[in-house]
Amino acid sequence: MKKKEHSLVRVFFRTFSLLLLFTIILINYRSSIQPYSFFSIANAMTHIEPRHFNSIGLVKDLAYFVGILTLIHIFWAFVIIVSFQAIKNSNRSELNNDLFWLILVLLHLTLVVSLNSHYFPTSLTSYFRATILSSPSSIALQSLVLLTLFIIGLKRSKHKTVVSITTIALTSLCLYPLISKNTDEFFYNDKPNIIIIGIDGLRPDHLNYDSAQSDYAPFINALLSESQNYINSYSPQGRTYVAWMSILTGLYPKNNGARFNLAPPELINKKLPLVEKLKSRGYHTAYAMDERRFNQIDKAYGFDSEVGPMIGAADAFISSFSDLPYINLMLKHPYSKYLFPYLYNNRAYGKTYNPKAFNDEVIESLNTKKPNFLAVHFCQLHWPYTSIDFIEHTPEEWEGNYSHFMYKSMLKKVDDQLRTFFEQMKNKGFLKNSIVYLISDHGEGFKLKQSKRFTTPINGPDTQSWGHGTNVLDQQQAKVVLAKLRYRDDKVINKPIKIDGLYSLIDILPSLDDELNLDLIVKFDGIILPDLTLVKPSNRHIFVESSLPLKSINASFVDEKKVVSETASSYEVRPSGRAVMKPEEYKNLLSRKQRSIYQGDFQLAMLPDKNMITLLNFDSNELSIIAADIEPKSDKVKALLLKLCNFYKTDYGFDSENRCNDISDKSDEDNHG
Amino acid sequence: MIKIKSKIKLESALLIAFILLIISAHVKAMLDTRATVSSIKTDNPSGSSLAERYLVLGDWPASRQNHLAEFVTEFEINKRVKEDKK
Repeated sequence: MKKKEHSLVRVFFRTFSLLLLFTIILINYRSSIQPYSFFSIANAMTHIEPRHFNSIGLVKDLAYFVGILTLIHIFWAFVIIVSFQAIKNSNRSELNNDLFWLILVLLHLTLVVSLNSHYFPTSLTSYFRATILSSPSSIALQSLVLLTLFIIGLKRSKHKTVVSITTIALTSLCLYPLISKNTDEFFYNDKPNIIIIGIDGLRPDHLNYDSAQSDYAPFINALLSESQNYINSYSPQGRTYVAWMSILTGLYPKNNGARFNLAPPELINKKLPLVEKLKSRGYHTAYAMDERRFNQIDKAYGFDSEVGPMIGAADAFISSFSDLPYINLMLKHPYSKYLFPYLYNNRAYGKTYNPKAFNDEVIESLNTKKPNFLAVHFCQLHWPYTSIDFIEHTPEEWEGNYSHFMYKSMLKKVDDQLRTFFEQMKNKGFLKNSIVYLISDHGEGFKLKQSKRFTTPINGPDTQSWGHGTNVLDQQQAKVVLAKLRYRDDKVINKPIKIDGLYSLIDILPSLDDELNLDLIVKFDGIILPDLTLVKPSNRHIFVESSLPLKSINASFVDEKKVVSETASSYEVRPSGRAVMKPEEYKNLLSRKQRSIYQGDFQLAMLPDKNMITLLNFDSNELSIIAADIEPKSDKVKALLLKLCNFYKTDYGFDSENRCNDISDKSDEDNHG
Repeated sequence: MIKIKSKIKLESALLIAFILLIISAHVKAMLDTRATVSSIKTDNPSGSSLAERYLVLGDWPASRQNHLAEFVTEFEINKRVKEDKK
């Protein structure tokens, strides 16, 4: 008997080793077909490099991931050992028993790769894609054989009772979230739900209300045709975290402290008066986002619940390493949010991202017995444009511009996700009495010919750049969607209208404050959004600033080495495991920002990287450079420069050329829009 | 006795053949995939076609409904767009 037990232990370790070997083979195989492997572009985008491994938080997160991987192999080996009892025969030769064991292991590996190939065709380890092995009938047959062997093995097991009870308990536990359904409906109808829906990078000119020729986003277009649509709106900065902080505070980045996506958290006031006030009025507050690399907002900002992947520097490493069949398959299960918190519902790990699963979790996070404040941000439109299914074959849309083509393809996917999300909200009763804002946090620059609008002087700055937040002169980076819908009994009750004028994302909070009589004790930078179109647009001015003007990111293809060499020294990984900008670098980076002001048909911009002040005229579509050595002649330039100087004068490194001294009138004037 | 031994040997041979069959299915699929990669790969590190760029970024550029070859020949990345990065 002892010999038998010894033999089983030996087979277990042999199985475990073989499974590990298979994982190593897969990792090497993947590396052989992927030009950029472990330290991928994603790492570069999140500014992580090997020296950051001295962060205890990062090491803990990576150790947890490795621990879970090891446990999966142990559990898998255990399942194979149990199944082996079904085919093991003591009368058979030892060699043949070993050969049967090997076949069993290989069948397990084949099934896992087949399933991965079927469900995740864009995975690099789905090498059975488009073969008979990944067909549903083949998978069903393989599963049936292995399940039968496992059940027979259970019956023949020496510790039959213990193993059976454990198996039944585990199976029930795993099946529970798949078969249970929360049927609670929202019944609270006194105070309205407040729902702010953000779509990352959504450009107005790709929508019908602006100038889109094709119907890339039928649902969003239909929604906007019913809304109060502020057609000339801008993001204070074309970066997700900064834009959301501006929405949630009603303040410009300069006044709320959030100047960069990964700004040091100690420099930012995380108390959000809106969230605190709504909670005191009985609201349940939730923040949801399906990509957390560039947005730090979580429960620490006062929200009752948060949805989305874990925030941390380990995200980039884990998601670039994780393309393994069993991890991908496990991510289909809701419990994987505990096993793989960096991967579950993470749009950045696009090959397994399930938009419906994210929607489900957001809906689940809402309270059915209280009014809700939900801020949710959908990121499928953000680089790197990966998804669980590859895009449609539409050569007629191809113009040779990879990023723009993928953007248009992903726009259809995010549109579909939003349609499902609204259906889910409706079915659960969350649209019975709701105020909904639909926004984008920024646009996206693709250097499109059709977007080229301005004539510029020789040696003038580029008015088009790649990405977002990289160039204040690129109008498609900062111009955003800003629309409001009022729902009653699942129907839109507001009058659909296009509202002219100049608006900013900072206007949402003052508008909510006014509409809900919140009495927030904050001096907002934003204004209350009007309900009706203005006969004569006001003479309002708004500010828009850039993030980091990085040359390496300002390209059609992001070169990881260049990004690392340009940015890495500016970031550190804290003991919490989060990547943040070094406080000592913060000031230096602040001084390199581009800053601009819009008013009427003009945008005046101060570009420290070019040592230039420029004026864009939207009426004549001309860009002019305001010479450095002469006092601005035009009253318009003078007025705009004065406002810009007054607003940013306390910023470190602002106006290193002393252009503000050119202005005779140095009176401090109100810069609040 | 000889008959039993032959039976065991035959069983071993069949089992080995089956093992080889499964392994070869994996190896062939892997090699086919690598051959496909070679056929779309160019010397441009950022990729010359939609399929190659997608692969460079870490995902496989085709699914059951789509043929990868179409995303190579019909979707060449415009030279001018590529040069923007320089």
